[in-house]
Amino acid sequence: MSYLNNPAIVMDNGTGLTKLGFAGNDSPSWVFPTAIATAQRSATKSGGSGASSSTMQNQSAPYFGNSTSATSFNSLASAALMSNNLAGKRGTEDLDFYIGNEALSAAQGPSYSLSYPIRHGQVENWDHMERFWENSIFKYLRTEPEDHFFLLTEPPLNPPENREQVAEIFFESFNCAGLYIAVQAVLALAASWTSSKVVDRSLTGTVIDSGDGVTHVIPVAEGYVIGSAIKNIPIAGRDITLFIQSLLRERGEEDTTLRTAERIKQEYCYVCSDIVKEFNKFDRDSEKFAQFIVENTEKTKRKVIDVGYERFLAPEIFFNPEIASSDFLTPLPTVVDQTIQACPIDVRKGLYNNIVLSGGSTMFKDFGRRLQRDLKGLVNNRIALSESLSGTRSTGVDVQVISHRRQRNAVWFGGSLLAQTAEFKGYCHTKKDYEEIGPEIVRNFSLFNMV
Amino acid sequence: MLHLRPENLLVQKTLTEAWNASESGSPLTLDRVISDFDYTTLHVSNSPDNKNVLWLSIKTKAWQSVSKCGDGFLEHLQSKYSGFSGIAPVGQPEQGYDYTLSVDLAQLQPDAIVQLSLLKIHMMSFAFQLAFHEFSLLSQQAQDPASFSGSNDTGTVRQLQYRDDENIFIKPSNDRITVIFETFFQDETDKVFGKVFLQEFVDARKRNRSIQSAPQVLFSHEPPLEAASVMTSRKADKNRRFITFVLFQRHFQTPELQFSSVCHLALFRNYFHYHIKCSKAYMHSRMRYRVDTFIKVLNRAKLDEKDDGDQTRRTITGRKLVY
Repeated sequence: MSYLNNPAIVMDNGTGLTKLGFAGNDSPSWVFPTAIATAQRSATKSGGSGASSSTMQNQSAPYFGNSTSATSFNSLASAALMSNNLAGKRGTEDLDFYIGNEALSAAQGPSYSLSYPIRHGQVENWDHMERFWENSIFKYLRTEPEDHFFLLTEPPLNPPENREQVAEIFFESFNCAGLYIAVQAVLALAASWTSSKVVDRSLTGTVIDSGDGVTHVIPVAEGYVIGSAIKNIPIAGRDITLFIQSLLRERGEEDTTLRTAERIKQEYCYVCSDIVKEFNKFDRDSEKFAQFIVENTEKTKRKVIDVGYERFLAPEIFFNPEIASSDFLTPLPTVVDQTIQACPIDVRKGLYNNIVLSGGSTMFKDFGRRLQRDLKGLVNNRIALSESLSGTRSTGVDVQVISHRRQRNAVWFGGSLLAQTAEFKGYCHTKKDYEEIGPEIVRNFSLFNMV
Repeated sequence: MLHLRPENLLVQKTLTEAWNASESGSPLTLDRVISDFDYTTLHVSNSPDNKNVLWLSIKTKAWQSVSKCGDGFLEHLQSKYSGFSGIAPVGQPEQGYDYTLSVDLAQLQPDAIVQLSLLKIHMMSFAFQLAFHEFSLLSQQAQDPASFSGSNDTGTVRQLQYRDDENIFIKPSNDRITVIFETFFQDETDKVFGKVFLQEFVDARKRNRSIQSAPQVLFSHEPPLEAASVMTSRKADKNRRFITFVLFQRHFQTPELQFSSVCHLALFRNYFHYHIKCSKAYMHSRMRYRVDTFIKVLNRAKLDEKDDGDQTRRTITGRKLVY
């Protein structure tokens, strides 16, 4: 039973990025795209190994590379000799694949095709996902799954069948010691406990999760997601980047690649309290304008890109979507308000009181403060209206938006926080439980009570 | 990925990041746990007094048994890193760990990062090095008829307990080194897969003439005689399997060959289990494919719903309107 001393493994497989690491660490050990590059059937052996050697780190001996031929069986003329051999009957093509960043570079060659096994947060291709996990456990984390407990994440409203599939793979293929599957929004709430503003470690709150593709507003009451009230906003990181790019193009800057726009977004953008005032500030004070310098890889050429109003205009599309899009016009604070209003009345106060940010696109400076101010305005207006209609005094609603340092990988960090506690292993389903009851065991997990 | 690589990618990545950050003048604050196979935990942290000096600590199951194999274990580890400036063992290992190296980021070289990521292999290699050394002594004795006793079984058996109930036994003699793996499967399915694989290890050499130079592999349910002396105290369990590798001089003639042999042997169990898992994944994908085809057959048996004339309206793409 010495696996009890091994750190638990926290895996957060998102649509875009996978975060892998060990419980107790403050940041994920590996963050790479959830992508897998598999060998195309028509690809010849030599083409495959050629591509693999170019993408491998050059210090490694070729023997330990991705090569799937241990003794170059396939290229030998002795194929006839091996006709009664297992290796002769079928090759090892199923081992010829890459994941993560290596997959992206391998897919540039002709012999690999890239695919993303997770779509909209849910696993679409289980074959690819199983191999993705296989490689992430053995190559990147270097662990024997029999010795470790695993904490995996799932999106809200994940069908229980998918959970069962995950359990089958982890218990039957990998024989993992124990498994816990947590909802991403709940982990994001747990991550917010590191903020000094949080006093009681409750699992009630609204999670605003904004990644690259889509923004979710998810209400959670005492650890349970209120599925009927979840709302999505089709504005997220990618839209902001595209908006910056369009502004740069309009102005005719020298370099308007998506990469440049993304760097500008990450380094210069912030949320302002009032656009009109901010425009005036920029016009009065030229210090506000910034310059971004693009260098080519050899550092011989420099392009200077001016960064202007997009510094505050870009994140503004969360609050005034009409400046960037014509089909979605509801500002984020209104969506949050509608979400909470759609929840049962007894939890609404708790939901307003604990609005937690998670994901890279909530990292803009003062994003939380602006959201809190706008939301407070909406709520106060409604209270004033109901007070004037009913003539009674309201006790008031406290709106609080919590931002913290771990926002970018909040889900992973929440997982790491929970999985390092002593009680974690008690909440997991173990291999023994699985063998006793079967895959349906993972339909229920007891919640963490951190009180 | 057919082979597991001996170096730990995560140690490499963490140290490279720390090194880059230190080069650019803003050293990272690190406190990371990194794991490796077989109950091995590595810990990278800043040294207590200087942010530009990292501590790399290792804790592993095999440590105790390796250090019992012979004298000079710490010197052996130290010799692996003495060629690199800035790397030195810390006198008192970190609390809860077996061994701690301090790494000065200002003097770190890229080669040293690779060597640091091989720390576990270097640790395991000590027992093998002793065996290589003893082999050369024994083979010299054998060539000298005056001192040769005529028996081939004179080497000492070294035992590496690298997992709770699994061991590696290394026995040098005057013409070979025998490495015996004792394995134990927790899972019934694994046992079956394992048997197929082990049989394949034994048979591959017989079938394929091009790999005749590979070490001979034997597989048995009873403890081989080489290790029997150490095994007697242990109750022979039905679930135990023994895999024996016979290394001849050509497998460890040069330091490079020695290193490569040690890497393969030290990672053998992980390699073996990795492939059991890969085959299961492969079989699962075949099963999914088969289920899909069955479902297609079943769907063929479904009757088309009768069109009720004007009751059903279809869109231009042929979808039914439901109202």
